Amino acid sequence: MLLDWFTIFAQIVNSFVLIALLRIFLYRPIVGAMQERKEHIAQESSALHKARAEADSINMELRRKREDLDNRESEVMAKIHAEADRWRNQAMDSARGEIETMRREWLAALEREKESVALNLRKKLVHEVSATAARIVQDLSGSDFEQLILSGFMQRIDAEARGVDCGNSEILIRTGFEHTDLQEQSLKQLLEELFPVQNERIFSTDSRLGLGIELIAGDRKWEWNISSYVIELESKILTEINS
Amino acid sequence: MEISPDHIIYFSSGCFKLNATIVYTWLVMVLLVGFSWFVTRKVTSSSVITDQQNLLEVLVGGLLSQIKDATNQQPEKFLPLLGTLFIFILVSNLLSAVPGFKPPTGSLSTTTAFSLIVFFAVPYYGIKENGLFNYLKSYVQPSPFMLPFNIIGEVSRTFALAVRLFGNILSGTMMGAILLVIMPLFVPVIMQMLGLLIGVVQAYIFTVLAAVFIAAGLEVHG
Repeated sequence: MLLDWFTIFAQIVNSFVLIALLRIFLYRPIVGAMQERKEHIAQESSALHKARAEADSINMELRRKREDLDNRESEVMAKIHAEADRWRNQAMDSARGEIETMRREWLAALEREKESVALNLRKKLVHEVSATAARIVQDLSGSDFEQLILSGFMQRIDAEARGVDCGNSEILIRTGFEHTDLQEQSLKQLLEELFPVQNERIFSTDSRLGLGIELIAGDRKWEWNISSYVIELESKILTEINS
Repeated sequence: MEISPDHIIYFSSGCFKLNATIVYTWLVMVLLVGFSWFVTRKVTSSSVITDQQNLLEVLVGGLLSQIKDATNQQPEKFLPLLGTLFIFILVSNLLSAVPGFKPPTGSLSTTTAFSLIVFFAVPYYGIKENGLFNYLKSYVQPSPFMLPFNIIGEVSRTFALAVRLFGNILSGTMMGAILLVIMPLFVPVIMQMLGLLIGVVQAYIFTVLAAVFIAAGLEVHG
C-alpha cells in the first residue's frame, strides 16, 4: 500500500507548520519590505511628479518672463534705433554744418589768400610795369620817367584845379617815389599859382602809392597812379579768362 | 529497492512511524525556515539589498505574479499556501540531485497530503469569499442533477493532482536508479539534470493547478 495515513496526516501537519513558519519568517518580511519599497517609490514618484509639475510651472513662468523680456528688448531696441537714428541725423546735420562752416572759412581764407596773392602780384606788376616803363622812357627819350609823371600831373592839375577854392585847408602833396628838390620847387611854384592863399604845403613820400602822386586840397583830391592802369589791365585779363 | 520513502522507517512506536518522508520533510523545513530567518533578520526596504534578499524577493514577487495571473485575484491571501507548496516541492525536487537524499515529494503520502490540503482549501476560500450557502449552492448548478458529477469532479481533481506529482517525481527517481545500474557513467547524469528540470516544472504545475482550482471555486461560487 503506497498510502500511509499516518504519514499523510504528519505531512499535513508539517505543511501547516511550514506555512505558519514561512509566513512569519519569509512572506511577511519580504512582502512587507517590497510593499514598503513600493510605497517609498510611489512617494518618490509622487514627489517627482510634484517637482516636475513645479518645474513645469517654473518653466512656464520663465518662458512667459522671457517672452516679456523679448518684447521689452524689442521695444528698447526700437527706441535705441530711433534714438540712434535721431542722434545720427543730428550728428550728420552738425557735421554738415561744421563742414559748411569750414568750407566757408576755407573759401574765405582762399579768397583772402587769392586777394593777397593778387595784391602782391599787382604790386609786383606795378613795380615791374613802372620799372619797364621807366626804362623804356629812359631808353627812348632819355627823360626821367618820374619827371614825366610829375610833369603830366602838374599839367593836369593846372587844367583842373585852377580857380578851386580850398579855403584855409592845408595842401597835401604825396608821391610814391623820392622827388628831387627841383621837382618840389616846380610843384610849389605851380601850387602858388593855383592856390594863391598862403596855405600850408606839406610834401611827403609814401611808398604805398607806388609810382604815383596825389594832391589833396580841402575836400578835393587829384591823383595819378600807374596802379589804375594795372587794375584796368587786370580787369581786362580776368574778363578774358572768365569769357 | 524502495518505491516510496515511506517504507524507510527509522523509528517506530505503536502507530507512530518515523519514516524517511517525515525526516526529509523536516530537513527541508529546517533548510527553508533557517534560510528565510537568516535572510529576513536583516531585511531592508531600501534600494540596496543583499543578494539573498534579492533572491527571495524575486521568488516571492514571481509567485505573487503567477498567482495573480492564475486567479485574477489579490494574490497575497493565497501566497502562504500556494507559495509554501511551490517552494517545498521545488526545493525537495532539486535536493533529489543530492546523493542519498530522499525527496518527500516522491512519496504518495506527501502528494496526497498536499492534494488534500488543496481539496479543502478550495471550499475554504470559496466559503470565506462567498459564504456557505452560495458555495453549497454551486454544487447543484446549473441543475441539481449535476451534484454527483460536481462531487466526482472535485474528488478526481484532487486525486489527479496527487498522483501527477507523485508519479513524475517517483518516475524520475526510479529511472535514475535503474539507469545508474545499467549505464553508470553518463546517462544517469543527463537523467539527473532532466529530473531537476522536471522537478521545477512539476512544482510550477502543481502550484498553478492548485491556484486555478481555488480560483475556479471562487469564480463559480461568486
